[in-house]
Amino acid sequence: MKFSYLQKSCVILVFFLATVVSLSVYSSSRRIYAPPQQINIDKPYKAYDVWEQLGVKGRVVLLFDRHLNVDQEGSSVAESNYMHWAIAKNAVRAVYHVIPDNAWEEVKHNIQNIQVRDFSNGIYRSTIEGAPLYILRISDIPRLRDKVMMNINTDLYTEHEINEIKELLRSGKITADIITESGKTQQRF
Amino acid sequence: MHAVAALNYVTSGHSSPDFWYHPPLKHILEYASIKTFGDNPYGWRMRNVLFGAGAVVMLFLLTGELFSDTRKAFVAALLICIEPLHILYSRSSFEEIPATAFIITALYFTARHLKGKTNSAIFAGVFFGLALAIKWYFIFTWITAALCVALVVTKDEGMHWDKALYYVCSYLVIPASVYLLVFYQWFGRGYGFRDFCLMQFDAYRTLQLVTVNDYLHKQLLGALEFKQMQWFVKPIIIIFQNGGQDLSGQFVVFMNNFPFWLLVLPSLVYLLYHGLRYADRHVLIACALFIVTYLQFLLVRRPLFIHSTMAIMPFAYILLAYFLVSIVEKLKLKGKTFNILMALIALWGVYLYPFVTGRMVPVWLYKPILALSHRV
Repeated sequence: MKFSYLQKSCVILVFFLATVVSLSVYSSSRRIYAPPQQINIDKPYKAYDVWEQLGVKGRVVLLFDRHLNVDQEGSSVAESNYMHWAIAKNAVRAVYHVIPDNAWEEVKHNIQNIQVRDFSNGIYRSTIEGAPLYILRISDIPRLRDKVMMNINTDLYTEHEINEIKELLRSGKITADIITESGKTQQRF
Repeated sequence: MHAVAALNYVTSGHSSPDFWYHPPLKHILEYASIKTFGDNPYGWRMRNVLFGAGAVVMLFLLTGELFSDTRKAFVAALLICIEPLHILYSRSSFEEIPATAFIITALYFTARHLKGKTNSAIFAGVFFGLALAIKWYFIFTWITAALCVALVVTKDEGMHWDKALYYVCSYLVIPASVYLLVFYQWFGRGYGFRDFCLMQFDAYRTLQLVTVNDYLHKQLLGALEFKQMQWFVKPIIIIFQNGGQDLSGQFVVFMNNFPFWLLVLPSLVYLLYHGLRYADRHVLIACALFIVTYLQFLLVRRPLFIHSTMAIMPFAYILLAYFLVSIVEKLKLKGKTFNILMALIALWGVYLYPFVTGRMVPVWLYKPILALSHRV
C-alpha cells in the first residue's frame, strides 16, 4: 500500500500535535497543589519544610523577601540556599522575587551584574539554573493564571505594601494555595 | 560529572552538575548505558564506545552513498577509525561522539533518499532531531542538508505543494517532535510550552556568554582551547604525562591527526574545483556540509575546545578520502597504490594507537610527536 505525500504529511503533523498535547498534559499533571492555607513560620526558609511536607511540585512561588537565597553550596537546606533546594527538588519551577519598594534601587543596581537578563513592564527576567526568575515590585506583579505559593517576610514591607498584597489576592489577580508568612506582625492574607 | 548529571536528569529533569543549557539527549543515552553496563567506568563510557564504533560504520556507508565508490568509503572510515581524537573521546563520556554518529546517520539517510534508494525522508528527520537534541552544532548542517534536498528534488522532479509539505514535515516537523520528546523529563518539572520556548532562548543567550572560567575543569579545558582557524593548518598536540619515567611514559594525548588534517583544506579546494568543473552535485554537497559546519565555528564568539572538532571531522574525512583516492587514481598502478595508501594509513594508526590510548610506551618511539607537543 502506497501513501501519498499528503497522507504522509498528515501523519507526521498528527504525530507532532500528539507530542505537543501529550507533553502539555504531562507537565500539567505533574504540578501538585495543596488545599488553601496560611501558615506562620519563624524564618522565611522554613517555607521549604512546609512545601516539602505538603508535597507540592512544579509550582510558581511569589517570594516577598529581600534576598533570593539560591546559593548552590551546602549539603542541607539553610537560609542562604532554600530556594535553590526548592527548585532542585522540583517543588518550585519559577520564582517571582518581589522586592520591597525601599530596596528596589539597590536591587536594580545589582541586577546589572547579571549577564542574561531582560527588562519589560517593570519586570526583570533571568534564570536560576534554567528556571525562570522574575524580579519585580508589588505594583508590577502581572495577572497569573496558575495558582501560586507565596512566601512573605512581612517585616520588610510597609503597611501600604502589605495592603497591596492583600488587594492582589482579593481582586483575584493572583490566587494562592499556600501562604507562608514570617515576621513580627501577624497578618491575615 | 556526566554520569551524575545523567542520573539526575532522568530522575528529576535537572542537568546539574552539568550545564542546564545543553539539550538533554546525552543524559538519556548515558543513563541507558549506565543501566545496561553498570554504574562503573564501563557503564559511563560504553555509550561512546558503541556510538564511536557506529560512527565509523556510518561514515563508511555515507561516503559510499555520496560518491558510489567503496574505496573512498574505506579511506574515510579508516581515517576516522585511527583518528586520535575519535579514539580518545570514544573512550570518554563526552557527548560529541553520539552527536556525530547521529548526524552522519541522518546524512546517510538523506543521501539514500536523494539517490532514490528510499522513498522516505522520515529516517533522516528522526536522526537530525536526535543529533540536534545532543548538540546545537549541527543546526547549519541540518539546514544545509534540507536545502540540498529541496534543490535537488526541485531540479530533478519538480516541487508541488504536497511534496513540499512532505519535505517540510520530514526535515522540520519530525526533528522538532524528536527534539521536544527528549525534554520529557524537563516537562515533568511542570513547565509548559511558553516556558520551553523561553528556556531555549535563554539557553542560547547563556551559551553565547560562556567563558572558560564557567567550566568545572577550567585548567584542563583552558589548555584545550584553540583558535578555530588553527584546526587544519598546524599540528595540535597537547599531552599530559600520566606515568612512566625517562625511558617509558604513559600519556593522555589530545591531538589532531595532523598529517591528514593538514590536507583537509587542499582537499576542499580540489573538490570545489572538481565539483564545479564536472557539475558533480554530490561532491558539491560534501563541500557545502564541510564549509557550513566549519564556518559556524569560525564565526562563534564563545571559547571552543579541541573536542568541538569532532563535529566537523566526518566532513573533513569525506573530503580527504575523495582527494586521496582521486590522486591514487591518477597514478598508473591503480590497485597497488590504493593498497599502499590503505596500508600507510593503517600503519600510522597502529603506531599511534598505544600512544593515544594511554598505554605505557617507549618514549623514544614517540619523540617526534612529543617534540611537536605542548606538554601540560
